[in-house]
Order: sequence, then C-alpha cells, then structure tokens
Amino acid sequence: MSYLRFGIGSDATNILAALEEAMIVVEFDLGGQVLQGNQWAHACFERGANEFGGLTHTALLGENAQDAAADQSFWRRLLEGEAQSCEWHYQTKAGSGAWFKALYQPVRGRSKKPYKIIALAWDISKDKQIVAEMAGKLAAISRFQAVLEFSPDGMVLAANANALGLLGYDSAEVVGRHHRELVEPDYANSQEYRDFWDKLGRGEFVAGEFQRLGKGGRLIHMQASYNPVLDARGKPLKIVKFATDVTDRVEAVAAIGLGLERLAHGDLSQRLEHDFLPALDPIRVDFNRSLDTLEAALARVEETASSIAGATEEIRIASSDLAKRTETQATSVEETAAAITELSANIRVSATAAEEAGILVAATTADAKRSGQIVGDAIASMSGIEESSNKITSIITVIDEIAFQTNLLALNAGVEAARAGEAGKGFAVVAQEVRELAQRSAKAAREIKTLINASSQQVADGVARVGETGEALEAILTEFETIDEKVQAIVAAARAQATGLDELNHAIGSIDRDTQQNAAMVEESSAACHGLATDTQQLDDLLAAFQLSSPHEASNAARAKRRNAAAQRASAAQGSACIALASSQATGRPDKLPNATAFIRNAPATFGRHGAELSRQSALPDQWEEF
Amino acid sequence: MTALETAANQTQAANDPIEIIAFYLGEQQFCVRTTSIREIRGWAKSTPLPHASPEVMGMMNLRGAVIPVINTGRKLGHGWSEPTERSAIVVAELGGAVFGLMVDRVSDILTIDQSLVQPVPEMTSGFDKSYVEGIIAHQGDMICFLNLGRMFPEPSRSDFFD
Repeated sequence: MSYLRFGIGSDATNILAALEEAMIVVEFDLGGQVLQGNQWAHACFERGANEFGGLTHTALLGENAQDAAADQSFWRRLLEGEAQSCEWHYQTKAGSGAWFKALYQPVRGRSKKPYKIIALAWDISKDKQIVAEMAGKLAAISRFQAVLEFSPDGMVLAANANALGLLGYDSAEVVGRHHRELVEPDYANSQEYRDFWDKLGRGEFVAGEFQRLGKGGRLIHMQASYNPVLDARGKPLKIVKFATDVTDRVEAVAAIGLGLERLAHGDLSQRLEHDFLPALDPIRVDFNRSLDTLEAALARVEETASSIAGATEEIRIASSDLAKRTETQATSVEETAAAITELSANIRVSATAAEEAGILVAATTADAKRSGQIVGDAIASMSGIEESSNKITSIITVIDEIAFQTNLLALNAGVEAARAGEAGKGFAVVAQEVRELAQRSAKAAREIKTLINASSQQVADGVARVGETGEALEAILTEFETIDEKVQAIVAAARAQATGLDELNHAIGSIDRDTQQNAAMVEESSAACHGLATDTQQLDDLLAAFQLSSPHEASNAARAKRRNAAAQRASAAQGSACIALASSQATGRPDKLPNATAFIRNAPATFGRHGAELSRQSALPDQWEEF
Repeated sequence: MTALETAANQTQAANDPIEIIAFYLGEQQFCVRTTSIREIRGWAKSTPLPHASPEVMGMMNLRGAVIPVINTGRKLGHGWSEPTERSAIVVAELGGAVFGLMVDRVSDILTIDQSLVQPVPEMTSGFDKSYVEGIIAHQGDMICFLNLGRMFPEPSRSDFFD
C-alpha cells in the first residue's frame, strides 16, 4: 500500500492488475451490497459481470455457504475500519464445493473514512482439505490415543480425554503439573530422565515404550512418542506426546516373560490364570497348553526314567548276580578241569595197572597151564607108582606065599625032626631056624605089603589130591580167563574213559571259553548298565531342573533317592571291577590250566586301559608271576 | 595001639619035655603032640564026602592016599570054620588012621616042660572037656592042649575009613 501511496500511478495500476490476475477481488459498498467483481470472481461464483451488482454478501455466496461475514459484528468492525478475514465455502451449482480465504479491507478516502469494502479472496480448498485431513487425523489419533502436550521444560499444557482417562486425573489435576510427577521418583531424579528432556529440548523426538504413574501411583505402560513442535527457527515450542495404553499388553508380555523365565528355570507347575487382552489371550492359552503338554511329557519322561532306573537297577543286580555266578562258574570249571586232570592221571594209572594186571594174569595163566601139565605129569607118575606098587604087592604076595610054603616045609621038617627023637634034634634046630627065617620073611613081606598098601593108599590120596589140584588149576585157569576178560574189559574201559575224559576236557575247555565270553559280556553288560545308570542319573538331574505340579512331588523324592542310589552304584561298580580283577588273579593257575590262564589273561582287557596294560604284561607266560 | 600010646604017655610022664605043635582056630590057640603028626600041608580043596559026619569036610589026596579032612572048629564045637588060602591041614596019624585037621594057621612047634601043662578048670562046661588034656600058658597066651586020642576014639576012627 505504501507503493500505492507514494509510488507512481501506473505502477499502482499495474500492481492492482497483477493482484486481480492472482486473486478474486470483490468490491462491496458499506451496506454490504456487491459493487463489482473481477473475472476470477465471475468464474468462481458462476455469475456474469452484470449479475453482480446489488447482490448481498450472503446472496453472493449462496444459500449453502457458510458465511462468516453474516455476523453483524464482522461488518461493524469493518465499518469501524478494522480489517477482517473469513473463509467461505462455496457450493457450486454442479454440487462441488470450494473453500476460499477472504480478506475484507475497508477502502478509505482522504478523510480516512471507509467508503467501500474490498474483499480479496483466494482458493484455499487444497489447504483446507489438508487441514481437514490433518484435523481428522488428529481427531482420529486423539480418539484412540492419549495426547498430551508439554511445554519444552516439561509442564503439562493439555491432555485429551484419552490421556486423562489413562492417567486417571481430571484435566485440572494434570494441567500445569510437571511431567516428572507422572514418572517414578527414582527415574525422575535420574540422569536418563534429564537426558530425555534435553533430547526433546534439542528438538529430537523420542519414541518408545514408557512406564508412567497414573493417579494413585498406578503403573501404566504406554507406547508413546514425544514429538517436539518447532517454531520457524527450529526452536521447540512445545512437546506433543502421543501415547497408547499398552499396559495390558505389557503386563501380558511381562506375565509371559515371567512365565518363560520360570519355565527357563524349569517351573512347569505354573499357569497363567488371568486372562490377557483378547489379542494376546491365545498366547496365554497356548502357553498354558504348552506347559500342560510339556509337563505331561516330562512327567512321562520321569516315569520312563524311573522305570528305566528301576530296570537298570534290576539289570545291575542281575548283572552282578551273573558276574558272581560267572565267577563261581569259572572257579567250578577250573576245579572241574583240575579234577579231570587228576582223574585223567588216575585213569592212566588205572589203565597202566590194569594192563600190568592183564600181563600178570596172562603170565599166571601160563603158569597155571604149566602147573596143570605138571599136575598131569604128577598124576601119570602117581599112576606109575601105583602100578609099581601093585607089582610089588604081587611080588610080595609071591614072597609071602614062598614064606608060607617055606614055613610049612620048616614045620614039616620040625615035625619030622620031632618024630625022629634025639636023632632029629639037630635037624629040628635047623628046621626051627628055617621056620624062623620063613616067618621073618613072611613078616617082612607082610610089613612090606602093609607099607606098600599104605604107600598105595597115599599114592591114591596123592592122585586124588593131584587130581583135585588139577581141577583146582582148571578152575583157576577158567577164573583167570574170566579175570583176563575182566582186566581186558577194565583196560578197554580205562581207554574209553581216557577218550571220554579227553572229550570231557575238550568240553570243559569249551565251557571255559564260553565262561570267558560270558565274563566279558557280563563286564560289557555291567559297563553298559553303569553307563545306563549314569545316563539315567543325568536324565534325573535334567528332570530335577523341572518343577512339576504337586502330583509329581512324590516322584521328586523318588528321583532324589535314585540319585543317591546311583552314586552308591557308581562307587560299588568300580569296587566290583577291582574285586573281579583280584579274584581273577587269585584263581589263576597257569601251569595247570591253560584255558583258565587264557581267561585270566583276557579278563584284564575288559577292565579298561589299566587292564590292557596288565594284559600286555601278562602276555608272556614266564612273566606270569610278575602279573 | 592003645597000649602003645599009654606006654608012650607013661614014658613021658617023667618030667621030660614034650613036643607040641601049636595052631590057631580063630583067635584061640590050640596044640597037639607033635609025635602024632605026620606032616603039615597047605590048604587044598577037599572033595565032599556024601553022608559023612558034619565035621568031615571031605576027602583029600595025600600022595595017592585018600584021607578025610576034619573041620577042627566044628569038631571042637566052635562052629564051622571057613578055609582060606592060608589055612593049613595038619595030617595026623592015630593008630594007623591018617586024617587031616583043617586049622586056620600053624603057629609054632614048641618043646615045653610037662609041668607047664595045667589041668583044665572044672567049670568049662559046654566044651567037651575030655578033648582037652590041659592048658599051657605060653608067652602070655593060653594054649589049649588037645588030646587027639580022646577026640578021635577008636570006634569013631573007624567011621572015617569004613
């Protein structure tokens, strides 16, 4: 306007022309009647140049227009010389509408008295739309979000209903208070809090999740952004905070987090009982269900572990029994082998004795046969003697007869001598002597005969005895043959026994090898059992990390008991291994029992590295004593 | 003959020794005077004689002469004695009659003092005491001293030969 006042007229005209090309220009008289409008006005209000005159402001804008200028004070202040502004909304005949920003300026004359009103208007439909959009967005934000405005130093300037509802305060209670009263005192006094406001003061926005205190110290979680509103120089005018109440979600997340933490520590007995907000509640339900499933699974695992532990214990006992029995069996096998060795020696001795007996029997049989022959010879000799005796007897009989006859002759001679009287005396003496000789002959013959008879009798007795001896020898021969058969049978039996014992020894060797294998397998079984027990213990330890619901409390105690038992087993298993090694050393007799030696040599290999070393040392038989 | 015999007996009545021949019948020893004996023979089978006395065993041939053989045991009442090979026949001659006495065995020819002949005890009844002249105790034995003349008196002798 200063140009207009002090400048050159044509320049003013040019400026007006430029303005008229850029803006809608409508002139009113002081009564509000339209005087004229430029061509933009014609286009805007869809009227010709001749249709403008005499129209009122309201008529110009149309029935549907929001006429800010309709207010009487508007025109009064204009007439008093005060410039006014307003916005129009014009509804076109086609139905579309447009917003205009209008400046009403009184046009003064020389007397400084307004003589007409000029309205300069421009289309602000786009701006208006943007503003409306912004406002709508803000309203939308405000509808769902808590909006708080702070001064750069943190004083509450305004709070929308959501914010008040969230905080639980009335507007009067919160406006004019400092933001620090909405946070925990510790945080309010922290460097972090000061840094927070410093950052906002530098014009930087802060967004995130925050904990704030509502009325009565209630903890509120909110997802919020603190947005500095800057002036043209970039200096913060105020801070606008948009916040969403996420307390439920945070609490839900915290509950889930706590639950997960407890879960991480193995607490399976917990359940999230309180409902979450609907969006998150499935998580809670799923969490609970997961816990149910996990707990059930772990309970099942624990039952299984318990049963495995029980079975392992049974296996361990069985294995221990088996080890003892195998040891006993090894001892028995060893004793059996020793007994068989002894028996073999005895049987060899028996066989030798039987063979010697057979030889003796054969020799004795030969002797007996020779004796039989001698007996036969003796019988023949006896017969000869008998025959000779008979001949002697007959000779003696003849001699006796001769003696008898001689006696008779002598008697007759005696008779003759006696009859001869004295003459026959000498003859009688001779006859007497002859008779005595005859009598002596007869007597001798009788004695010889008696002797021969006795001899014959004795010969007969001898023949009988010899015959009996022969029969006895025959019987002896027969018995010797029987004995020989028996002895042969004994020899054959002894040989068969020796063969049988060889087979038995072979079988014992096989048993010995089997026993070794059994011992090795028992050892492996024990090791496996021990490993299983250790695994079960580890499983128990793992399970102990989980806290199950009350029905499983008993099993916790059982688990602890099993752990103690497992620890005892571990030490006992090492002890038994040592005992087994010691007993193997004690029972080894390499000089007598090669199989047992091999067993003992093999046995240490089952006792791990140390045993292998022992086994290596005992590889040479002459180093056995060192072993 | 009887007178001769008596004379002989009388001559011998002095303490002259008497010759006897002793023999056995069974277990008992008998003897007769040697003077009445002709010879002694071994047993030979005798031929039985019909209707002869029971004690006559039969007849025997003695160098052509036939003589009877008496079973002396039967004659002495001891019963029939069976002959054996060692039986002997004592051939006696009495009064011209020759006969044989079968005995079991001739034991001896003895010369004894007559004083040794002791009388037969009266109690010997049942035995024909008249046959026995006496008893001779000899070397612990008792010898019955037979009297052939009384055993075979004259009348009976004739029975054998007639």
